[in-house]
Amino acid sequence: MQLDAKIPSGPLTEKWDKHRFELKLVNPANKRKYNIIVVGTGLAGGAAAASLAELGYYVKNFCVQDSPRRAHSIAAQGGINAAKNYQNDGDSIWRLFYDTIKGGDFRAREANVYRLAQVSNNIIDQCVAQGVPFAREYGGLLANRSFGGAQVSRTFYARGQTGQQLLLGAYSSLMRQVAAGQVTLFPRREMLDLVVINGQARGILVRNLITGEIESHAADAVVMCTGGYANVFYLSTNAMASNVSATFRAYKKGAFFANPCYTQIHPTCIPVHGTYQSKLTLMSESLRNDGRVWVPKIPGDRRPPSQIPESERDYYLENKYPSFGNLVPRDVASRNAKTQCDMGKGVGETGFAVYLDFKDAIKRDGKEVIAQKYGNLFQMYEKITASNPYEAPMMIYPASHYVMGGLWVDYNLMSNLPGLFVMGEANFSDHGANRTSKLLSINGKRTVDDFHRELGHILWEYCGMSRNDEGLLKARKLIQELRGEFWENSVTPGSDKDFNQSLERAGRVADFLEFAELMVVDAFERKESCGGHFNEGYQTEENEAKRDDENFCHVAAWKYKGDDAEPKLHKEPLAFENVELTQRSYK
Amino acid sequence: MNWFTNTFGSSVGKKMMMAVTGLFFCVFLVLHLAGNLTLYMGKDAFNSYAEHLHSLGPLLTLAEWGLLIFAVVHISTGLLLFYQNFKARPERYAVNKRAGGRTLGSATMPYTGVFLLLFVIYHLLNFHFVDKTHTTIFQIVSNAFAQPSYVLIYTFAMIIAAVHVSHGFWSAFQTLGANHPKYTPFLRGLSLVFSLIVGIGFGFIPVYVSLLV
Amino acid sequence: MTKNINITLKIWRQKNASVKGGFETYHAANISTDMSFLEMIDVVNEQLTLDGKDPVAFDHDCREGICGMCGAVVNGRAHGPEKGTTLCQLHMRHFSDGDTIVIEPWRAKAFPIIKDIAVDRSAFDQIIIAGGYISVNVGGAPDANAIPIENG
Repeated sequence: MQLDAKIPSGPLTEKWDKHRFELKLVNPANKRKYNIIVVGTGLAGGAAAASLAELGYYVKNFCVQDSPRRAHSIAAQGGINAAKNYQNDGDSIWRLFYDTIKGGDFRAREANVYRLAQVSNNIIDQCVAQGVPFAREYGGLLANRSFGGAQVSRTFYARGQTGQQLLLGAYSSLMRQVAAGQVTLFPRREMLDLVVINGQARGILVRNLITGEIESHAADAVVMCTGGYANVFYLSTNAMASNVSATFRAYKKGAFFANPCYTQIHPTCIPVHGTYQSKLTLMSESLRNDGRVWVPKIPGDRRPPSQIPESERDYYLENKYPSFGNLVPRDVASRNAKTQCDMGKGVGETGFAVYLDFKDAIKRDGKEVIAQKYGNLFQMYEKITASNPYEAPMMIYPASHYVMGGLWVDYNLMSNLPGLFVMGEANFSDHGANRTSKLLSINGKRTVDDFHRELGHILWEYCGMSRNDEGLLKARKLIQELRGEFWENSVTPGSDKDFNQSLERAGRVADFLEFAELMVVDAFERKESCGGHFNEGYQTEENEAKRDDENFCHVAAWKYKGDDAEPKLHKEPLAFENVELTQRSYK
Repeated sequence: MNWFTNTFGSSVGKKMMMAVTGLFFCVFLVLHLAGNLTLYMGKDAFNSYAEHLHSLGPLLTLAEWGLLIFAVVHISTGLLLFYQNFKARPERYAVNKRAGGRTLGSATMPYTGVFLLLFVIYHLLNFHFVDKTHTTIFQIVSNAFAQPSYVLIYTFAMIIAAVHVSHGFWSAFQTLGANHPKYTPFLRGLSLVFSLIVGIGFGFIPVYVSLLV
Repeated sequence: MTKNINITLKIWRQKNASVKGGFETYHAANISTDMSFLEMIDVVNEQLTLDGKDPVAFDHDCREGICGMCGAVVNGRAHGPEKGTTLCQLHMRHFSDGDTIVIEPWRAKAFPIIKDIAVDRSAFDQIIIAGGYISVNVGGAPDANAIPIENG
């Protein structure tokens, strides 16, 4: 099958306008004849459902939590970028486009990224109209800050809780449409399967998490906004309910899964402190603006930080990258922390942490200035670790935070399965049910969480911050063995006829165990290093990611061929007509 | 009529009725206390105050009916709210902690309220619905407070009244929407002062009168 | 600083909204004081699962104190003894060795119990549906800086 991204022709800046003009319109009177299913209520799903309803379509909106307002978009801290150029500091749509393409290490589609930059401004307008309380200047106009190493101030924010405020905005717009009868909400539903008839997506199967009932819903289009799969690592900064099941089931129904190996590891998270740990917490990246990262020079040095003299500390980022120092990009900072810990120089009880020290910043600027900048983060850190970062250095370690892989989509954000079709009678069959009873019938000796934890260890070790061919092959074998054991030796209590959180988890872990293999296969196949994928065999002399634009400037989209068959790779070549491909350097 | 029943039938509407009638009773308490303070000026002053009051005629009757209607509203809504509040949590908590800003006054509102209702009936029977043709009001009062049991009952009731208004006064403002980090602490303080005035102002009268006799 | 404590838990167990519930007593041994309250329940649940018993159902999601999914009444206080702290951000270091902790669901008729300490809070969404939103179509929103707003 030929992957057609359906990118409109013409100059980059005119593609979206041209495309919008060429798209067929639906008469307002006809819109109400269409039903659309939206799965997920985060910033993507909630906004999509509210917007479609506002246009006049009937929307069925599903979420796994008790209310649309819980989605993990709520945890975003820093802010949202737009090319408004309100600060008149030289920003433009083109600059936002360029920064985003470069940040993605030239593995994203030009036309999509340019459109993102274009519509970013309208997104801010819409948010403000919804009542999102973005930070303001004294005069009442919107405030901006710079973020993530950007040289312009284009980030709109609401303290350190921008995601929460954005989600509440989307949620209230959504509830307005619920009140108007345009949207029907289905909370506490988990998507089990996509219904595909004659190659077209025509509905979904969901499990009612309270009654255990399997429900089927038909529609003219299905919009999946089901989030990322970073929880495949077991420990990540994602919410507990975040999972891959919905997208993975769609993959099994024929949708292509693109670039599953692209994962983002965030360098500044609170380290793991015990096997019981269920979740990692992100500390905003802005901390690296003032904190200095160091480890003891001697491996195995267990002295408390205050007793390690200056001469015995290794400020490894500053030494290795004199010009960027502690502000190197996320992937570089993360990999270096891992290298130091692997050398035995890690600190803390587990040895998997490095110090982020504010002593010099406090000496330079005073405690008050630092408190003003990072007070809430310091408080959060102290709450979790019971250690005061004003006195002792923070301990941080990288954690899985975000994924860039997902179902393949074209310029219209439609997957290779056509999602629109004329309304008709739908004939559904229940696939999900068999599996749940099978899960309940296994009477083994290990809990589902235990399997998930081990899967996380395998991936973190062999398919995490840095990968190599040998490790990936080993990981694939380990995952297969673990999956085999899971179906023999796991234990899931209760029944499938009521509220059963163990069963929910078991279903998700079963999917993770299959998906993890696809991730490893994709990582093995990509013989280069780029942004979210670092293969040790492909690095520059300075240990930076080395891309292979000759052979790998493409999207890797995988097609499911059956449980025992190898997935088939389809490539969508990426063409860069407007930017020049360059190598990143931070020395 | 629909909007009226919709508004005042809701629990928020009922609380608003409680607040308005409650504040009205606070005003009544101030006037009543001002009148009673004439006791400290002696027998004649008190009797002439009572005479002046009664010379108001139809105005007084109007005020009495007003008080009665407000009392019916305040008490019936209060009891209804108490009942609904109780019904809203069929299964009680096993552990109860004083948290969430609960005070002695707020936790006992329905109980102090019912006690005050009984007391008011008792009070009216003692001093209002009595034959006053051959005696003065001062005489009735001093006769009553000559008995220690009366003094005890009245003083105790005034302490209860103080506890009741210590919460009622400021929370009435809150119910009506006057809630602000700047002003609420002031209102709460004022509420405490008001409850002390009510408690001490009324509470000392029986003691004072009993000492006179 | 980190140490292990032993605690006794009295947890409300109720199969669903229509049956009567009651307290069950569990012993949680060797609980690290670095654990969050929910991780402590995770540990208890893992043991219950291995013992062939029904684990305790409780709502939770982000586990970083922002989503509003978790919550229980701990020793008579909503979210436990710490002020302004969600249950997932309450850590076991706030309890001592030998403590007995009573964990109850939020009890209110409008929020029926789904199971154990998980309650149905869809009534909150009903409040928002009744008018808790800004009544504008956002499709044609004016420029975000068109109306200055006081910096509160």
